[in-house]
Amino acid sequence: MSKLNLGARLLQARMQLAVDTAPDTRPLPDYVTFQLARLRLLHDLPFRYLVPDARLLPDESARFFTLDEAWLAKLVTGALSAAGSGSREMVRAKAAAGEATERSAQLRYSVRKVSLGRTKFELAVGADKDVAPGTVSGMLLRSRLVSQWPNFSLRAWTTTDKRTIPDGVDPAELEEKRPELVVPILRMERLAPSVMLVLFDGVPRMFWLEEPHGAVQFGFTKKRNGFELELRDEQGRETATNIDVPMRLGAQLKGVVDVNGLAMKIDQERPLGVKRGSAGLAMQLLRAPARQRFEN
Amino acid sequence: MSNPPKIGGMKLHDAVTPDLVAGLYRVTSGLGILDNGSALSAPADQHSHFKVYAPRFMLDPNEITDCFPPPGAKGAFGERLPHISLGRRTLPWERRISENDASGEKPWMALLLLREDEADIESGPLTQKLPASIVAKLQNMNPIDGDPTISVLKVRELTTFRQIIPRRREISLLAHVRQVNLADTMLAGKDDDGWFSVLSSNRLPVVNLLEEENNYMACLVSLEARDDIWNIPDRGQPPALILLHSWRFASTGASGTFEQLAANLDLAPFGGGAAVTGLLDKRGRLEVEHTQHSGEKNSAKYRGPLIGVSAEAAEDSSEDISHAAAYELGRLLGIADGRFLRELVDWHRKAEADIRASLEADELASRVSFVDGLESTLTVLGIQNSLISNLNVTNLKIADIGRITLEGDIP
Repeated sequence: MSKLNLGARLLQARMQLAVDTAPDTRPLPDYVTFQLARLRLLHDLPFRYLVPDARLLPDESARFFTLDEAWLAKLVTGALSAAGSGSREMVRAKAAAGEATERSAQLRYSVRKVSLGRTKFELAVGADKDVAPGTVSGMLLRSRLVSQWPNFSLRAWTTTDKRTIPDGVDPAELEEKRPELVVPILRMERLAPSVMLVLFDGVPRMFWLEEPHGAVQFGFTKKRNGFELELRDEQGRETATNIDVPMRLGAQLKGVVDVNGLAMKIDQERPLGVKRGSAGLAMQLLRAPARQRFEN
Repeated sequence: MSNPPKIGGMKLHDAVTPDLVAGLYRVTSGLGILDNGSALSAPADQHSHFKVYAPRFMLDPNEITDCFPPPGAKGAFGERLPHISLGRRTLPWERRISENDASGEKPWMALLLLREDEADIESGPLTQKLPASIVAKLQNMNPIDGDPTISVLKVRELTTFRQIIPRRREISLLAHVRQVNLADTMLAGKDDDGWFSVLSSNRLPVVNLLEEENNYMACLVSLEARDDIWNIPDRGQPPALILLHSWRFASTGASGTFEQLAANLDLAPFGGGAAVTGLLDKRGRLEVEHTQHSGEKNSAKYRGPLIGVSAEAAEDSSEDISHAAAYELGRLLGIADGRFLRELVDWHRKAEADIRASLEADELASRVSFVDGLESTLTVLGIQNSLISNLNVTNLKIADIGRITLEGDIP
């Protein structure tokens, strides 16, 4: 003999039936949708889940990938089931997952804007409704480049053609003229002191890494006996004229430059009309930030 | 001042001098009243004071945006002059080297480069670390509060000091201001105007091949009230200089510049590369150790969200835990986020309330359909209709059915 609260079971069964036949169509809360969009861009995911073995990302390496939609869909379903594992909750979570995946994929541009403080997620969720679906690809970089130049810049393009994108091109000008060439960056973040994760919207055919502009260097070129400097014209373009760098007497071995002598020597070659100041000197000493081009 | 440069571009300026250098100022204001050319009595002059503050004996690390070569770095820096860039564009011109200088004429800081064995860094109270004459000069320029603890740089040999200290007229040539566009760097979005003041050293970290280690210290020193450094008597000691910031790096002949590192990167699709032959299977999965619910250990296969060498879909088999891991990770991340969980629970609760409300509405609309529904749910539960034939179900309300208790053989 067993005692049963039949009424409670009846009610539960009715509600289960109702959920099974017509799962709820109430939209997910904005915050939930936005957090799912962040998860889909691998935010908060433990590094071990991305790179389960250290050998997959050795020192001084870059690894390229696209994101696995099926895996991300499971992640989203899992997150939606966080509120409970009752049978009605599960049905509802599964039913909401499809729409949630679609909506959170549309929010991929907003995640970066929100993390940079340019907008708020409440506004973004309402706004980004017509974003077409697309592949997210990316790169993991483990290198001293990341630890020593954390502010380096990266640009990704849709073509490898050197005629379209010549080596020394100004990326801003190019972007203005041919915006379709640019592959937008969805996320660029240091995961560890020497590991950088970059996600692109689409698959770039070519990208380059560039030294941070704030940290451009001053320097010379070593030659057999001392150093030389290639002069620039007043617009900053390189000329073919090289001058020897005067070193301070008695301190050649120590590498001390005769700064005043150098400024005068440059003035002899390229007079400015006025005595060269620090900006004029700096312009001559600047070594352009190194730009390394990679093709996919 | 001027328009910001384009993305990726930069502008250079000799100096950005503040309208007022650091110090105590007195403002005197008076009023003169004239009546047909003859002065009338006026209120007495007003005096008020204000202070312009600037870093003096130490530098907050937040003022520093960048150091080159990077601190702790080891690389081929022998052709590059070390420099430091500061986020505050007027900082190098906010104090004076000599009282005779016009304000903002020369920067009061210099970046010195020393081999590790050429100098020592000491720390202690200002009055003990600097000679009394210098302390008096500093006091004279700007009163000092108490006796702050400072760091000083002491060069060991006077010859070294004389060889490396920039000449008086060189000080200005070694400082400039840079205006860059930050749009495509990691600094983007932070509150920064793109203006930096930059101080460069006059010495190259040359590599001496006879030495095993070529370790250098870059030292940002204060030259406030220090025009004595160009007039040291021949047998004198090298003067101690107030150290604002310092960092170390090693200069080597081997590769280590940005250019060299970038050119030598090992590039491969994820899961590829020389070191990983045989590590992943053809679906890009890694073999991992797996503990089952029973406690039994066996191996399972895992592939993360990154697809590199293989785009083949993961299969849902008992030994492939990729999707199970993703689901569980999603669940854990959802639980870990308090607001996420709260809003999700709330969403469920509202959905439940909706169903209850619709059931109530159904019942009101049609008793019969409610009973039909009840019967069908009983069938779902596997309870035979005969068991409830005695019940007058047509008179039940949703609110009541939670209270019905039946006794009998119920599956």
